[in-house]
Amino acid sequence: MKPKPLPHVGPFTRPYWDAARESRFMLQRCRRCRQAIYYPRPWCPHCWSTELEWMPACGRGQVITYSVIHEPPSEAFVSEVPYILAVARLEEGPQMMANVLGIEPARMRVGLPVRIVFEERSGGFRVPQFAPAEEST
Amino acid sequence: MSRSPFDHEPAIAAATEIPPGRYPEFDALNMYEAVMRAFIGKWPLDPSIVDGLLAAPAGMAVAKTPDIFTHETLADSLGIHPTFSETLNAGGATYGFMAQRAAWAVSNGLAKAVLCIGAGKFPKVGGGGGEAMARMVSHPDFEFIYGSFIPALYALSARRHMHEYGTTREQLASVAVSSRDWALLHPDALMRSKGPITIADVINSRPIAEPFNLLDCSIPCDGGAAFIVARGEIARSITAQPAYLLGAGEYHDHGPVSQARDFTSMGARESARRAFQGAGLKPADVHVAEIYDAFTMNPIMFLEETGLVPAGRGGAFFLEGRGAPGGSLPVNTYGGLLSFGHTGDASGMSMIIEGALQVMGLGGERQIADADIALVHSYGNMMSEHSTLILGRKP
Ligand SMILES: [Zn+2]
Repeated sequence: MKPKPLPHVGPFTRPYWDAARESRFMLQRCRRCRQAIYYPRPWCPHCWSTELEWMPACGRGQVITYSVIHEPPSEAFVSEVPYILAVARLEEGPQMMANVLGIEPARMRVGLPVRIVFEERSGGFRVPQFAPAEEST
Repeated sequence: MSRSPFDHEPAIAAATEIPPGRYPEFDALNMYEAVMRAFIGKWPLDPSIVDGLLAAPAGMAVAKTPDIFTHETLADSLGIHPTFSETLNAGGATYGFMAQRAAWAVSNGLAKAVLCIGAGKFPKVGGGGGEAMARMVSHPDFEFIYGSFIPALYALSARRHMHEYGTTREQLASVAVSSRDWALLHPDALMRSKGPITIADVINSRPIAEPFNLLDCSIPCDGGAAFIVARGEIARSITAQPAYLLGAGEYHDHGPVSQARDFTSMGARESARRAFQGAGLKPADVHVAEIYDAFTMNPIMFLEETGLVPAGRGGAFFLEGRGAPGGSLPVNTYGGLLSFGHTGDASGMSMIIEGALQVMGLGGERQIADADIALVHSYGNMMSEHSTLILGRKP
C-alpha cells in the first residue's frame, strides 16, 4: 500500500518537524509582538518582524469546523475512510488543520475540544494530529 | 443611476463558450484553438481592432508544463500585435480579473478592444487527478499530508455555515436542484439530458465528504470561452446590446483554507463592496446573479457575502425556489458548474459568459426578461481570491 504523504522539511520548518519526531509540539512566537504563529515561516505575519522563537505549545484546541471524508483522495487514504479532516483553533491563537483520530464520526461536532497527538509515518516522521481531549480512554 | 468608474464605456461586445464535454484528441493549445475558432466564427470581428489579449496558462490543470506564454502563442497564431497583453492566472478568478484589467486598459487608453480567452480540462478525478488538484490548492506541508481533498476543503465552509446559521442538508441540496432546472433550458448543458433531480436524489447520492454527496459536486469536463472587452463605440459596432462593465471589485483573502479568518465569509464581501461602490449601485438593483459554484455551498455563501441575500438566509432562498426559473432572483441561469459543467482551469469563464449573454439579451430559452443588471462572482484557489463584476445594459 502507498504510504501517506510526508512534508518537505526546509530550513524554516526543520525545528517543527525535528520536535515532532520526539513527540513535542512546538509553535513559533514573535519576539516583538508576542503572537503565536502557525504554520511555520521566516517572519511574523502580524508585524513582519523576522525575530521569531520556538516555544513548546500546550497542544490544546477547539474544532472550528470539520468534514467526514468518505471518498479517499488517493490510494494512501483508502484504508482510512471514513476519516475526519478538521480545523481547530489552538489555545495560543493560530488555526491548524489535522485529522481527528480516535472518535466515531457521528460524535464529531463543532466546538469539540482536542489535544495534539502524534501519528507515525514512514522515515521516522511523526505528524501532529488531533484527538478528542475530553476522553480519558 | 449608475456611474461607471471607467472611461470610454468598456463593454463585453462578444462572448462565446464552446459546449462543455470531453475533447480527448485536443491538447491544451488545441482547446484554445477550438475556442478561438468558435468565437471568430460567431462574431463579425475585424482583427485590426483587437489590440489587447489576455490568456491563462494553457494546460494548467493537466499538463506538467503549462504554457506560461499563451498570450504570445495566440497573438502570433492570430496575426495580431497587441499593445496590452499577458498570460495571467488566479485560478477560477482568472477571467473575472481579465475582464477587470481589460476594462481598466480600455479606460486608460492602453487598448481599445481586449480579447480575453481561456480553455481548460478537468483532470479525471480517479487515477491521480483528484490528488494532483488537492495538492495544488492545499498547503503541501501543513494540509496535504492530512489527506486534504477538494470536496472536504469546501465542506469545511458548509459545516461551519450549518453550525452558525442552521443551514440544512436539504437547503444545500436545493441549490443543485435549482441549477439542474436551469440546465434543462440550456442546449449545451452537460446534465440537460439527465432530466430534473430532487432534493432526495441529491441526499441519496454517493457520500463524498460530509455534508456533500455526489450531486453536491460540479461536473468535471473540458471546455473554454472567449469574450472581448471594447470601448463603447466599438462594442456597439459589433453588437446592438453590449454588456457594459459598470463595476469590478477584487480582493485577496487567505491562502490555504485552514487559515481562513471566517469560514462563512471568505472575501467576497469586500470584492462585492468595491464593485457596487464603483458602479454606484446596490444589491437590490441586481436582476440576475451568476456565482461560481464548485459545490452547492458556494451560491449560498456568496449570495450572502455579495449582499444579495441577508447573512444566513441563502439556504432558505434556494429551498424556496427563489433562484430557480421563475424565482425572484435568477441564479446560475446556465445550470452552473453543478449542471452545465466544470471546465477545470477554464471554469471561471462560464459565469461571465452567461452574465454577459443575459445582459445582451442572447440567453435563448433561458433569457431573463429584465436582465438590466447582472452580478458575476468568481473566485480562485480555495475561495482565496475574489472577483465581482457588475454588468449592465446602459453605460
Ligand atoms: Zn510580530
